[in-house]
Amino acid sequence: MSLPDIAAASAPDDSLLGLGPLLGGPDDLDGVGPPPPDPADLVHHRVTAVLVAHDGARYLPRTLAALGRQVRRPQRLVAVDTGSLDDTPAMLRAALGERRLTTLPRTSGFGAAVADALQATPAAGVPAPVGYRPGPGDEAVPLVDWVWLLHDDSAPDPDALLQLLAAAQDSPSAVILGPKLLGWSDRSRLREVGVTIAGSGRRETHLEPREIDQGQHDGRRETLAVSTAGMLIRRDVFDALGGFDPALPLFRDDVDLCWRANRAGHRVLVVPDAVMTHAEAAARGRRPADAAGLHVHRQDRRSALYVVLVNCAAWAVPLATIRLAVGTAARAVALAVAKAPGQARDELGALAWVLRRPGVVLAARRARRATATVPPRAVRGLLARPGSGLRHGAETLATLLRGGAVNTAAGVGGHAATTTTTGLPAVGAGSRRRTTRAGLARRPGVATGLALFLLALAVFRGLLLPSGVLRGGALLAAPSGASDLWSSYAAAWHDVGLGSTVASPPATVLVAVLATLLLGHAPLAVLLLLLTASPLAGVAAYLVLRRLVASPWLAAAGGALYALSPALSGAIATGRVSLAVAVWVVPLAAWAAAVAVGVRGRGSLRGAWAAGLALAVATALAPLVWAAAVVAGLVAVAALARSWRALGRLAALLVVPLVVLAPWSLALLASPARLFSADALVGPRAPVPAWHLLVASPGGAGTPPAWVGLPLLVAAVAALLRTGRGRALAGCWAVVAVGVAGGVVLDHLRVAVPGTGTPVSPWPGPATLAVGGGLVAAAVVGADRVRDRLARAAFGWRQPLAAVVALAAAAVLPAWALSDLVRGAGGPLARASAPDVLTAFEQATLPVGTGLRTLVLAAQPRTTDFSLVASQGRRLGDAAVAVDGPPSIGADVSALLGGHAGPAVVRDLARAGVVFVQATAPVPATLSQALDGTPLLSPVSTDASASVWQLGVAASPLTVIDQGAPTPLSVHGTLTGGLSATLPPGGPNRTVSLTVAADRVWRATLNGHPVGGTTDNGWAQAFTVGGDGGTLVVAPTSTARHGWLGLQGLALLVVVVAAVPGRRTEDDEVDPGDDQDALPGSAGPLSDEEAAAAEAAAAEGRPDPTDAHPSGADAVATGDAVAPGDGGDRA
Amino acid sequence: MSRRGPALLAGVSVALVAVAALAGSGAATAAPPPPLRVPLTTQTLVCPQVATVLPHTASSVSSVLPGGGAHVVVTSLSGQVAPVQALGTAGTHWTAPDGTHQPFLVTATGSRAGTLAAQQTTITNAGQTRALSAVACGPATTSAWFVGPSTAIGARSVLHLINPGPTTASATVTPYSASGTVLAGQAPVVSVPPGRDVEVNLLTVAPGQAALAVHVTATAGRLAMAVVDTESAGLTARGSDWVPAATGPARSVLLPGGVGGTTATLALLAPGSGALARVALLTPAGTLTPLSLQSIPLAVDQLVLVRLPAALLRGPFAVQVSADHPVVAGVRMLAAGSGGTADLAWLAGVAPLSGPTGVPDVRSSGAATTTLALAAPGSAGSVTLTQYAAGTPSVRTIAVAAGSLVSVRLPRLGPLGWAVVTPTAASGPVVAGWSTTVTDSVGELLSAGPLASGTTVATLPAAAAAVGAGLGP
Repeated sequence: MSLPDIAAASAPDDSLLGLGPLLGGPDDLDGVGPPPPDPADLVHHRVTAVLVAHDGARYLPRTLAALGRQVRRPQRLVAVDTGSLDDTPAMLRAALGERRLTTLPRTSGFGAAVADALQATPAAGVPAPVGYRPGPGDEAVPLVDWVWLLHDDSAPDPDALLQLLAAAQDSPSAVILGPKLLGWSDRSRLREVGVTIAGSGRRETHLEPREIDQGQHDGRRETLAVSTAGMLIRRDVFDALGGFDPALPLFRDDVDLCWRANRAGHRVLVVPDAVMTHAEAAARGRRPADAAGLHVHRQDRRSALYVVLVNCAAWAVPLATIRLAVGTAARAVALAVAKAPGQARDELGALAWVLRRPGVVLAARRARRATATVPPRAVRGLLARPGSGLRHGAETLATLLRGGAVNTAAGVGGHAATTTTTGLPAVGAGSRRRTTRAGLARRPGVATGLALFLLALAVFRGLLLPSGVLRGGALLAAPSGASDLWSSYAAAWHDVGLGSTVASPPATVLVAVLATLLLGHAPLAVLLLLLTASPLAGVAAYLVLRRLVASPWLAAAGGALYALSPALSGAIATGRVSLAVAVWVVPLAAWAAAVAVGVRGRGSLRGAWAAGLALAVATALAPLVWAAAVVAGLVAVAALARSWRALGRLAALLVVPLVVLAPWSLALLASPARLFSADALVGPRAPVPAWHLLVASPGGAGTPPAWVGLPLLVAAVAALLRTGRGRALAGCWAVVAVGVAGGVVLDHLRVAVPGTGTPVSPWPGPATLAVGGGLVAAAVVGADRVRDRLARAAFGWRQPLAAVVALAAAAVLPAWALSDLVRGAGGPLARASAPDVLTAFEQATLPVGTGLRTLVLAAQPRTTDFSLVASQGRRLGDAAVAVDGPPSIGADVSALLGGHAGPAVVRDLARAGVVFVQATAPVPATLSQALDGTPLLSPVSTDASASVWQLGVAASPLTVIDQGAPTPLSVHGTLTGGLSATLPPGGPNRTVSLTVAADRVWRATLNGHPVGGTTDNGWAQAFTVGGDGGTLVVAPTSTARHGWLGLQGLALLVVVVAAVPGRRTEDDEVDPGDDQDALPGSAGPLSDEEAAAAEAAAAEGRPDPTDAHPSGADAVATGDAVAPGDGGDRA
Repeated sequence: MSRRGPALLAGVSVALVAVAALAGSGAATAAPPPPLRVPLTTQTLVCPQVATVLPHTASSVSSVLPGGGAHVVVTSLSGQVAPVQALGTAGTHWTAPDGTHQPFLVTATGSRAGTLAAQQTTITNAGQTRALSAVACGPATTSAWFVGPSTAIGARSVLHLINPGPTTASATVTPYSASGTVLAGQAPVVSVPPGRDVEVNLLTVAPGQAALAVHVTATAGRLAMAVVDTESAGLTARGSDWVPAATGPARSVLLPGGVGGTTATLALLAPGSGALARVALLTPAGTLTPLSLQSIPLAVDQLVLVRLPAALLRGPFAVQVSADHPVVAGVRMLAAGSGGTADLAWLAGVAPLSGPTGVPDVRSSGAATTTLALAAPGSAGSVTLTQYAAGTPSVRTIAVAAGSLVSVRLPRLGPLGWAVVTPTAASGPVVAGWSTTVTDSVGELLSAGPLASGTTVATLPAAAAAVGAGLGP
């Protein structure tokens, strides 16, 4: 058989190649790009193609067929099979013949395979292209030898080689050229158009995930490197550079080679006119990368570190080492959290490997110096810009947070053999996908949230003023900085009243986190939480309702109605921040819990941990939620009894909040009255008629009249007429029933909250929120597709009635909200001029944090409230840790009020650190007379807001009592940081009394030696000292608290690790035969989850920047492109 | 679960609400803590000036503990003197030794110490200061009204501010006269060191006033306050007596203890606001409403003097003042003797009896006669009167018709006699006063005053620890 002219632009002779069955008809040539360059100009380029195969039977037919269709064929095609176990050797043998095929062990690397193939195929043995005629004499055009590297899963377009050679012809200095790589099954996706490397060693393609090829990267460019898939390299340069570095059996060998070529003064070009489709099969974990052994990730990282260290400038080596070490540690932590401990170990192992072999690195650097002709800075422009690593990290984190799937390799800088998928319910993923594709008008959730936010801004415009302090109702002034919140949470002892060691509520942490994100501005965090409560409630309700009904607009309307709940406006008006946040956290947590337990679908244990975390957040904000969850859980037990797994998930779900929120949760179980500390701050309320509960009206400041909720109730009742949605409606009405029951209970409760003497009747707002939510959901479910159903029915009373009910339900509450817009919100919550009621004089006189206080008296209609207030005033979170003071203080205050207080009472108060007595306006005449008449109490000031008296007794935080005679000591420091005083010598049995309630946290040392604690006056912390004087230091010990915090952090970490998405291989998600670019279809009202899953899958399918080579076994083909047996080599 | 499940749950919700509504919606307003009732286990009464300068002036202090069960001690104010006398329980009588001239404290300790009543009685038989003057010893307080003392020529009114406490106290003295607030805006502030009796001559505060009302407010500490008014015309005694402390401004004021046959002048003051007052006289014959006293206009802060019609004051009487705004009132009685001599006595408003009330000094030397006056301004009242003579009680019940007055002349009970008045359970409000007359060669010596009930339990306002105190609206 004669050798056809392979340089001719004619269709290949199928029979010659022996690939007949694999070749399609002439149609396959359609779609070839612009007219090819003239092949006649390229006859002096002699190309040896090296195809490396490893278990590639799935891809090889298409690859071979594509090779066969090249309009400019290589002069010789050789193949290397690296120990394939499938049909690869047979296929290659059939296509190329035995002689063109070499076989290597299964663990051979790509570089070794190429080297082997080239060694067996000397350049001289390759025939010159047909039509090449060395010209006469000086005009002789010498042959240029090229090597074209191919993977078994990379199919070149028919003109790929032609275009590469044309580019080489145009740019003689370009010694390495690479094609544009597209998706194997989806040609619209870009895989690579040249690559470079970041400082971390990550391969950087500069492409967006799943970026679509619209020609945006077309145009030949110089680049640092091109992939070995389709790399065309001048053979002399390849030889001069020594080929691939044997230290890089896999990964980054291409970057390393091209980097060396650049340093040798050559150019690397990417030629987008040349197109290849590339499956990146090994990189995507479709087949084992045997050359890397078991630790693919370790090999990848080892290569990454190695390449950076051996190629970077000499002066940059120390810096790069540090940077790589830190980055590796950070990635290891991230991977450990993402439940990939193996990969984390690999990261560290790779680093250790590189650091332990300075000799290897130095030798490699020496070798590179030998071939380099240009300084490193000449290449710097081709490297990835600094910061690209951070950008990728942020993108990965964002993907993880929104419940999508993360390619840990891409995100963490490794290869792509595994992917990570979050299994959160992916709330909102579907709607977000839609939002990216449609305008605002087609995004009901966003539109609702935005409208509600604007409404909230307008209604609460009075709170937006920059001046003053936001407080009132249940809201105490926030401290100025986030650090104050953090330290208050971590503190073992709180300067509230006479001191408290009650555990801080975790809600403080949530505010602190937000405040930290807002650069430490705690008051802004509080304001933001209040302002965003309504919009976020609307969005949260929308997201939940979206799963119940078909129409997004109906869900949005339901969300808006929920967001306008009277209880929510009441919660904001009375400054109940926690409840205002719980309003939107609870629906999401409830839905997550329902999904995790298996109300819909199978549920999962991981989901249960995640839902447990969400429930913990909700519980921290509104502890009653946990009680409701327990009740709901008990009901669910009956339904789930058949499934031990479901019961286990339920148990995990309910236990997580208890554990994560300990010790606060345990303290709450021991003293449930603390649940109502906000109610105690807000004060007494008017009774609520029982029927108000059914229309979700809790009464109180900031709430609309009850009748506003009537249409909603009617609509919810009307929904009962609906058939076919029994389960959903039962769920809604169960929520209503639980809410009503809770409301009745709350309304009848009388709770003595610690630290607040008068028993309070809890506000039924939380319960009516549940009622409102249930009614809205029922009404929405009832209205779902109501138009269709009514349209089917004959016209009668139903249609107009439904219209009226729907209109009333949808319009009355918003109308009332709009009227609020005109009035502005009123309520106890307001901007006050100072964080507390203390006058400037008192604040200036009382040193901060020393246990000196003002006794604040506030006359109520039938009683007088009192509080011991320190200089800094009462701050956010104080109410939750308040404790009942000693009864003697109450008796003292009563005596003071009744005008019966003698010097003994005043001295007793002074022992409690009281320096001032302040009566807030209006001060009853009897009160001011009684205080005026009290001996040792003299008036200081009287103004419109308060009257102040000062105690005529020297007050000090520390008083030494020697045989009953008290002597105040002068002190330095603060209580929390340590209070020190010089104790004079005295009698043998003395006590030193502190102005705080006795507690075990208090420790004292005299001259460095601990002294024993005791109790003075029946309540005060005191210490027994002998006759010796010296330096006395008093401070609370926080060992126990910090221990608790440590345990809490540990518990949180464990649950988070259990809850964060685990690792799944891609094949769990998509059809193995597919390139996973396709989205699973989604339809129906419940499609959001599916859409999220699809999105997750899609995210995995992004082009992998760290394309690993078809590792290990690379199939081999020896043979000419021409035809096996025919052997161009024999020509 | 088709249609029945949701409907069932909806029904449950409605039923819950119905049950809750029937059960009565939660009375959301929680009961406030009850007032604190503290037993008064110690009570100190201050007798403003006990002066015995023989042979003309002799003072005695008598006290009654209606319930007994306490220990009573009399000490001098200075405290440097050891207990002058430690007496037993129930009634005591202590005659000051010669040369005494200072305040004394009567202190009861025990479960019923709060009912302690004490009275200081001084009789001066001759000279420029011939008078019978008696006053109830009172506790240290923060506010007191004295209505009636005079700073006119010949009159000398002295305010005693006595500080039994351990710290310096101070008081503001605000005098009111017929022309309004005297020294408006610059009311003098008097500082009283502990254990001291500071005398303020009202002449220095508001000179030349025929009558004054004085409001004394303690601005720091508590003070025992008393005003003594001594009048003379040249060398002729025109009488002297303590002006009893009056109840604070009220719309209805009752002044019992009036003595028939005297010249009585009513002083009225409506502090802070104008008022229209109406005066009635409660007599054994019933309520008399003189036409001229039916409408007495009171300008703001201006003291008004009204002469009570002598024709109606033939027997014991009580004065009842009603006004549309709070008023304070006092009555000055003058009993004329021969040779231009006279003696003075004051009446002051008092609250109705609320429990066993001691009448300390029913024993008098020689010709002394003590009369108890009981007036029932509204509904009928009844009291039991227990008289002790040398420790032997005799009990009788006295009924007081509505709107009338009953006068009981107490028998002489000997050196250790006292009486206790107790309103019965069914009684309407009864106010009580006393008057004592001594007739000597020159004429009648007179003293009178109200009887106020003590209490064994102090009701202190409730105080509730509330972490948010003062922050609320």
